[in-house]
Amino acid sequence: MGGLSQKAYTLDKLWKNTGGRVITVDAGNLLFRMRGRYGFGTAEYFTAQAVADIYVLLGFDAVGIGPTDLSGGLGLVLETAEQGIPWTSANIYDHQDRRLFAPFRLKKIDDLSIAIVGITDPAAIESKDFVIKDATAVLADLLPELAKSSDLILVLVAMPTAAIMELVKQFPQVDIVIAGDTSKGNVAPFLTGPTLVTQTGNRGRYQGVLSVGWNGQPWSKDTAPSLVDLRKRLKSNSAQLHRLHNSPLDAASKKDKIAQLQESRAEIIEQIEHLEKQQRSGTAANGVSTYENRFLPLSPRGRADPQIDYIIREAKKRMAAGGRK
Amino acid sequence: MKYSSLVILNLLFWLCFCCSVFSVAAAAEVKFSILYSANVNGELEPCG
Repeated sequence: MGGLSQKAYTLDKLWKNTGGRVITVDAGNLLFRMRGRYGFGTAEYFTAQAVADIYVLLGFDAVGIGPTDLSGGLGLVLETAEQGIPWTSANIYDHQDRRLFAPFRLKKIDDLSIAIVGITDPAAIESKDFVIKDATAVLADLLPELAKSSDLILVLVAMPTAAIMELVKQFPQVDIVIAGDTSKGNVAPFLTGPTLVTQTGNRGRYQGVLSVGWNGQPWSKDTAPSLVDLRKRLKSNSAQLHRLHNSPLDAASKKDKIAQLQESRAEIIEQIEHLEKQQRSGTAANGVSTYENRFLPLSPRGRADPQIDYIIREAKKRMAAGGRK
Repeated sequence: MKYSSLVILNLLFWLCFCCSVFSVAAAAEVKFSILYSANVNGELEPCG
């Protein structure tokens, strides 16, 4: 079936391949496509329930609450929290000034203590049931203490990238942001100050995998995979040049292609030298923390998970029955 | 006999010392993966 079914299959495979050394998170906006009001009985509501059932099974460490997650009302989010979705939001309060969700989750890998904080866009939605407080004020209160007790701080936040960058600029304690800007597709990790920011695109079509080597030092991209790729390209370029030189074509017809390949070869060599220099001066000398990122496509025709397929089939039946249970 | 025992003890001492230094160095970096997503948008089976 693909989609969430393939996501389940992929997460399971990644978990096995890494010996369980993973943190599984989602920045939010999973239940509904749009902001709005979707009551019980609508197709959107049934789909949201099915997504929630699947997320319970996927075993997330933390899930942020995005603006669209509140489209089924606070009741649906609280209900699915009880079912097992680890919703995380530091700035959703009730009218008695009490937090409605866990502000952060803690995860340990070896001796490394990782805090996963959730932030909900204050401009998200207005409701008589809850208040979304200003993220800056809430983080200013929360992060100094959290930074003392944890080694790495990760923030889940679904709001526009410009607002995220403005926010993290004020909090250098934040090491990683998993974002959920609905106007963006996959965004490869980039640094804003000391913070690494990345996100996957809309409609759950990709699974992000950020492999990290963390030692408490500033980030630097892991150059090793890029070097392997560049050396492969150099080898292929050399083979093409060799074939062209030995081909029976006349010199005039080969000239342009050879010039093109030689230009490309010079660029590849320059990039290799640049990365090798970076490796020598950066990673080796300063002991920086490294990362490598991949976006795995979750196509509808991908490998599936039978249990998730069953939930999807049942949800479709309910929708086809027009909401009759 | 006494001399060779001293040599063995000395070797053992340096072996333990080196092991502890390298194990501290190795523990300095923790490797793991963050499996992440966002904006599933209520899509059970996205197409296209």
